[in-house]
Amino acid sequence: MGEMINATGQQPSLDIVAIEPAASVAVLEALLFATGQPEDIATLAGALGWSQIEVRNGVAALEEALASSERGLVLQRDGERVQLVTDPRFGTPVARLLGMERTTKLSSAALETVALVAYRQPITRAEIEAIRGVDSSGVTATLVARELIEAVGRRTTPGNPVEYRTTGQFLQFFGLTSLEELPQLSDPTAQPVTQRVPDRRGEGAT
Amino acid sequence: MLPTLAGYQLQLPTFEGPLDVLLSLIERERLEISDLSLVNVTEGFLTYISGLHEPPPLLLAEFIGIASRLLVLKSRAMLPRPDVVEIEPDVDDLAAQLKEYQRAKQIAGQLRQNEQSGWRTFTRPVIAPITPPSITLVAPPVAHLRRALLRSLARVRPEPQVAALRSVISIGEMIDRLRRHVGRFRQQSGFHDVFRAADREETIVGFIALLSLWRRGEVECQQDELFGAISFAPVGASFETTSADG
Repeated sequence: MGEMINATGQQPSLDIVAIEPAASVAVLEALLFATGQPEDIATLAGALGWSQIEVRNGVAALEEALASSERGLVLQRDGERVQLVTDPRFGTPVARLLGMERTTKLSSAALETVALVAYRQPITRAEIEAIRGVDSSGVTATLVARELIEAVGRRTTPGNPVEYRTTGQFLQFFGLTSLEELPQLSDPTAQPVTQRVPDRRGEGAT
Repeated sequence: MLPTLAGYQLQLPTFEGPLDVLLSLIERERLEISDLSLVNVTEGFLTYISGLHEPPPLLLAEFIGIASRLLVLKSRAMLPRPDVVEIEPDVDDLAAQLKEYQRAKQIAGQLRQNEQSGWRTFTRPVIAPITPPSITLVAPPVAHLRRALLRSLARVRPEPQVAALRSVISIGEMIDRLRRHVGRFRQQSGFHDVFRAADREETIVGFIALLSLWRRGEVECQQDELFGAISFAPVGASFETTSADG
C-alpha cells in the first residue's frame, strides 16, 4: 500500500469500506465538517458505504469524543439528522464575530407556542390553541416566518389540519443539541390532552 | 383549611391569557393542579376578570369561557354525589389542559433563558459545491469537421484594402498655381499642355480656375473653335495664332 499504482497496474481501491472502524470518528467528523448542514444517517451511510448501524455507532462515538475532550464543537441531532455545530457555551462570541447578535426577542406568546410544538410535535394549530386557551394564528405564522417551526404535512382527520414541528433552526437558535435536552420531555406522568384522564370528581370534594 | 381567594387582587404585570392567570393563581397558593384547586381559585379568577379595565372583546370572551368551565367544576363539587358514580368521559378536562400549559410555560422559561444568555449554536455557512457540467468527447465524422472548417473559413475576414489617399486641390489653390505659372512664363500657354499630366478632376478644377481668372481679368483666353484647344496668357501678352494645336 502507499503506492499510487500497485503491482497489478490497477489504481488502489478508493472504496470507503476500506476505512477501518478505528477511523470512523475521524471520517464522520470530516464529512460533517465538510457539509455544514444537517445530514441524515442514511445519506452518511451512502457516502461511506457503511450500514446505517455502523454510521449510528460512529455518530455516537463522535458525540462522545467531542464531549469528553475540551472541544469547540458538539454534535446536534434532529431526529435522524446530525450536524456539527459550535458549542452553545461560545454562542455569544461566535455571534459577535459573525455579526449575528440577537436584536429582537421572541414574545412570551411565541416562546410558549414554540415550546408546545417542541414537546408535542407534530401538532396542529387547533391543538396549540386548545392548550393555550387563546387564538394562536398570528404567533404560529410568526414562528413559521422565523423558521423556528415548519409545516410538515396534513393530518388525516376531518379538515386535514396542518401539522407543525420544530426545525433545525430551532435547535440552533436555543443552543440545544437535541430535543431531549428540553426539560420534562421524558416526564412519564405527563399526559397529552387528547388522552383524557377519567373524571375523578368523587375524590374529596369536601 | 384552604386559603380563601375572595378579594384577591393579582399584581402580576401581564398575562398571556386566561390560563396564564389561572396558573398564577394556583402557583401562588402552592397548589397541585387538580379539579379541587381549580374550584378553590375560581373566585380569585372571577375577581381578576371584574378588575379588567375595558378588555378587548376577544380576550374577554376567552376569560369568560374559562370562567364558565370553572363554575361547572365548582357546581359539581357543591352538589351531593349519587351513590353510584357513573364513569363518564370528561370532555372538558381543564386540569389536564392547565398541566399541559404549565409544561409549555416551563419549557418556554428555559428557552427564554437560553435566548437571553446567548446560548446558541452555529454551523459553517454552506458553500454551494461547484459542479462542472460533465462533458464527454466523441470523435465527429470527417464530413462534420470539413463543414465546420468551411464555415469558419467563410467567416475569415478579407484582407483590408488600403485606400490610396489622393491629394485634392481646391479651386483657390489652383488659381494660385495658375497665377504663378502665368507670372513665370509671361507668355501664352496651352491649357492641354499645362494639364497634360493631370487627372480628370484636376483638369476640371483647372478649367474652373482659369475661367475664374479670366472673369477677374487676370488672364486672357483664346479658343479658336468650339471644343477647340484653349490657350491663355497674362493680360497684355500677344497670342500666337495657332491652328495646329487642337
